[in-house]
Amino acid sequence: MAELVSKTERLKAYLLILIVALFFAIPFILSEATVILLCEVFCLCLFAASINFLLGYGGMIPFGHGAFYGAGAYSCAIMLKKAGLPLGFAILTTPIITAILGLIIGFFCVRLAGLKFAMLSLAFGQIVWAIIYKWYSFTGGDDGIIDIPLPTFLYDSTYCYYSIFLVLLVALSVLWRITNSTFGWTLESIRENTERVYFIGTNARNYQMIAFVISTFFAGLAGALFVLVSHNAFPEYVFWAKGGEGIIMVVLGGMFSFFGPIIGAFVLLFLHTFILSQTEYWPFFLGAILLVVMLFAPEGIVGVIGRKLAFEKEKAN
Amino acid sequence: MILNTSSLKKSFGGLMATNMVDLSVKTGEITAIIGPNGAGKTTFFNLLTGFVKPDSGKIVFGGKDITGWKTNQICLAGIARAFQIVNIFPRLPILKSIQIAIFSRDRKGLRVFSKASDLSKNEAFEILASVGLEAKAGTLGGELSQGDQKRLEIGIALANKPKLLLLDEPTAGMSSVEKGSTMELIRKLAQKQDLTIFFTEHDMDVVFNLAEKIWVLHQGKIICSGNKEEVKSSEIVQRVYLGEEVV
Repeated sequence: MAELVSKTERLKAYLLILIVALFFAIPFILSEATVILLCEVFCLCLFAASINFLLGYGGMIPFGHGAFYGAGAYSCAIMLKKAGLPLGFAILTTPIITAILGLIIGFFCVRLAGLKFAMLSLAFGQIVWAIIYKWYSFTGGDDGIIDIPLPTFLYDSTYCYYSIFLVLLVALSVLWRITNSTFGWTLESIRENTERVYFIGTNARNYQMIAFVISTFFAGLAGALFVLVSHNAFPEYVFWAKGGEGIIMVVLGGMFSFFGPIIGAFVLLFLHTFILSQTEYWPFFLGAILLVVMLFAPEGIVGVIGRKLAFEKEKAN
Repeated sequence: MILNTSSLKKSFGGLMATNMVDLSVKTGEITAIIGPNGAGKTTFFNLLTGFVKPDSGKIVFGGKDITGWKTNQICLAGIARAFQIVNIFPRLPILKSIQIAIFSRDRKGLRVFSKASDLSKNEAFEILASVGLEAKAGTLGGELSQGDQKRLEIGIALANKPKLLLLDEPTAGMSSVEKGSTMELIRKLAQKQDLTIFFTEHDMDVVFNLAEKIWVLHQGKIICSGNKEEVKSSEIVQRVYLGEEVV
């Protein structure tokens, strides 16, 4: 039994290494347009993973999480364009800034649970959006911030791809480590049964608070990375629909799984690009896709694959 | 005495759920608190675990005044509780559930980068074995039978290494076979040093079988206490609790 487990674990590790190697080869194989699209996908992967840390592991629905993604993009953009700070500094400090914002907003949000949490997070998110949208002198209002100066190598899509991919790998490894730590496990127990957690001697609210801060750290990093691809920052990055998009990725790929939201981000963005190239009715198709997922595979893509594998295994036995 | 309450009072609106309760539990003695439906047993357990705050009165545990403490603080001080209605982590493997409770006891839960999977695994296995669930370590809590879920309840509570274990109707909803094995389990646990068991129960057979000391609660008030003979022969208990028939 133990041998079997370690065997499948090893298989999974090999598969992961293979996939990572494949991604390293991509700029040599695929077109520049696809490489740029993948850069965007990477940012959204990290954003979706940060949402899933709260949603799938912590059981909190962060409807206003777009605020942290957008704040990350703006923070990075302002540091580069207005303050002329070096890129490395901007990328390193932005997540800290969004985490501090997360600390303030999270302090209030974790006092509530379920739908109330979702609504309060949405309300705070919209406040952040309104500030960015209206503060013309600082953020450029609805004009956004455009032509953000970047180091010249980043204008080459291949270098841009590798830079973002490497940051993504590091960020996801750290997040993976956290989800498998004693903290991550305790967070899962809070998702399962918040009340009971107090009876094992744990103050659930403190854990939810820390999880919120960790999640906003990575959401901010994702937003900052996006500036490297887009070279601009617009209020729509902060809008609640951005958080909604992230939640759709999580649901599509599969909650309760670390890789589900990452797969969800890939599938959603590629479908988006493909369907838009065929027809302008993307929202219609998005609705249809969500309908199918909710009705036939509420556990998402990863959940369906897992179920299928378990079924095959049972049949083999 | 491991636990003492004095003049403990709690009301919900006009209802006196706990009315001037003076109760004590002797270290190492299996103690039961009984009473008809709505007598206030669960409220009393909620008071002891800080889940509801008393209006007045005092709770002293192991010489410390714990009145007004938070649930998680009381748990770390040494009072663990298993619930009447199963209250577990349904989508977590049961071994993991126990490990998480151990992390909490050892105050390791906040370690963001320390790998959890092998930590305290052996101890968690031992705890599962002590409640007879070691063969099901990988099963999700929600997939266990009702009886096994109640055992898991007790297992999670034991992971905190409590000095006082509160069991809220440990055999409710069990078949007579399961009841027998649960009683056996409780008796075994009580023999361990440093563990005092305090339980509520509807089933009088279970109570008279296990409890060395019984407290009778009626409409929030203690109306009688003593060993099983004393309680059985008490007129007031027969009148208000056991009905006309004598057990």
